[in-house]
Order: sequence, then C-alpha cells, then structure tokens
Amino acid sequence: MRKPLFVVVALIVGLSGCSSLGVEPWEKGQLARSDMALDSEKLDLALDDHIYFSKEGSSGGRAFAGGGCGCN
Amino acid sequence: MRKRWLLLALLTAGAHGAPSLDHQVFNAQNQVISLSEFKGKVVYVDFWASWCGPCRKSFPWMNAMQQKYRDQGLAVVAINLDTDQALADEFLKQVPAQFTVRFNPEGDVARSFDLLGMPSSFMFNRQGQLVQSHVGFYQDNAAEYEQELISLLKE
Repeated sequence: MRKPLFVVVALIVGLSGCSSLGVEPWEKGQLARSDMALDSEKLDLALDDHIYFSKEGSSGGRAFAGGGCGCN
Repeated sequence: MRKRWLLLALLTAGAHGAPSLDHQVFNAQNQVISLSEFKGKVVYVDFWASWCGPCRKSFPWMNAMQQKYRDQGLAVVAINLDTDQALADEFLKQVPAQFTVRFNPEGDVARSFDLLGMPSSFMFNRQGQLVQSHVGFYQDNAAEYEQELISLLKE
C-alpha cells in the first residue's frame, strides 16, 4: 500500500509540477518596463564593453587591435 | 484517500476552459458581465494591455472596423489584462477606443483562451462559435483580418 501511493505521488508531482511555472504572456507588464530592458543603462553598457575588450583583447577581442592592457 | 489524490491530480493538471463567449469579465463600472451579451453578432475579441506596443497599433484599426461594420452586426470587444486599471485608463486616454472595452485583471479569461502572445484576437461567428484566431497584430495583415470579418458578416 505504501509503495504504490508513493509512486503515484511522485508521478503526479513529476508530471505536473512544472506545468504552471513561468510567466504567461499577459503577465509581462513588469518585464515590459523600459528600465527592465537589458540595455536600459547606457553607461553600464559602455563599462561592460570596456571591460570586455580589455580582457579579451589578447585573443583578438572585437578586432585585432589592443593588447589586453585596457589602456586604449 | 485515493479519491483525494485523484482530485489533486485533476487540480494540478489544470482544468482549462476553451475560447468561448461564456466568460465573465468586468465592464468600466466594475460590474461583472458575460461575453455572451454579444451573441448573435460577429464578435472580435481582442486581449490587450497598456504595456503592449502592438496593442497600441491595433486600436485605430479596431476603431475603424467597429465603425465600418457596426450596422452589419460586428462587435469589437477588447479585454484589458492590466492588473492595475489605472494604467488601462491612462492608455485609453491616449488611444481612445470607440468599441467595447472589458477588463479581466485576474487573467482567468486569458488563461481559458490559452493566449500565446499579446495581443491575441479571436473571431466568433453569429452562432458564437470560434472561427479564427490570431496572435499579434501586424499592419501588413490588416486587410486579411478585415476579409475574414467580412466573410463572417456575410454568413
């Protein structure tokens, strides 16, 4: 009696546990706010980009200029 | 005991309704009202929210359709899905609607219609049966949407 019950519960949870996760299309109001956009902070983007080309410069980065010193 | 598990299973599976006019929504005065009030007409049900860009573009078109085909029995019903009605009112101030606007802040009607995106539109014939549905609003397809409405109005 114990075991089949456990199996049934495990099945129910396993099959339906993730069925109601996530955001529905009509619930995306907060995500649609402009300050939620990945590129909402221009300064933040500029800093990220500077760090990127400084770190990746030695392996080419975005182009072939620069040597990874972060000084250009 | 077993029955209780069965019930739980049914609940978690989520008893989904289907797109139909048998749903309750709020009107602007916050009264519960059924979509079936439009039965007998060709009903264009549109789901929108204030934060949704394409919805904004669809409003002038829906205004035009309502005006053009009202006499032939078209009802455009736009159901707002904002959780905060103030946002919807603000939107309506900017983009006035000359068709019926209803509210479903809980989103339960949207869930029953199983929306895949915003905006979503559903066309019902005079018998109240779902005939056509669209996800999104594309200005390029507006003539096509209109043609579908015309063919339903002629039925």
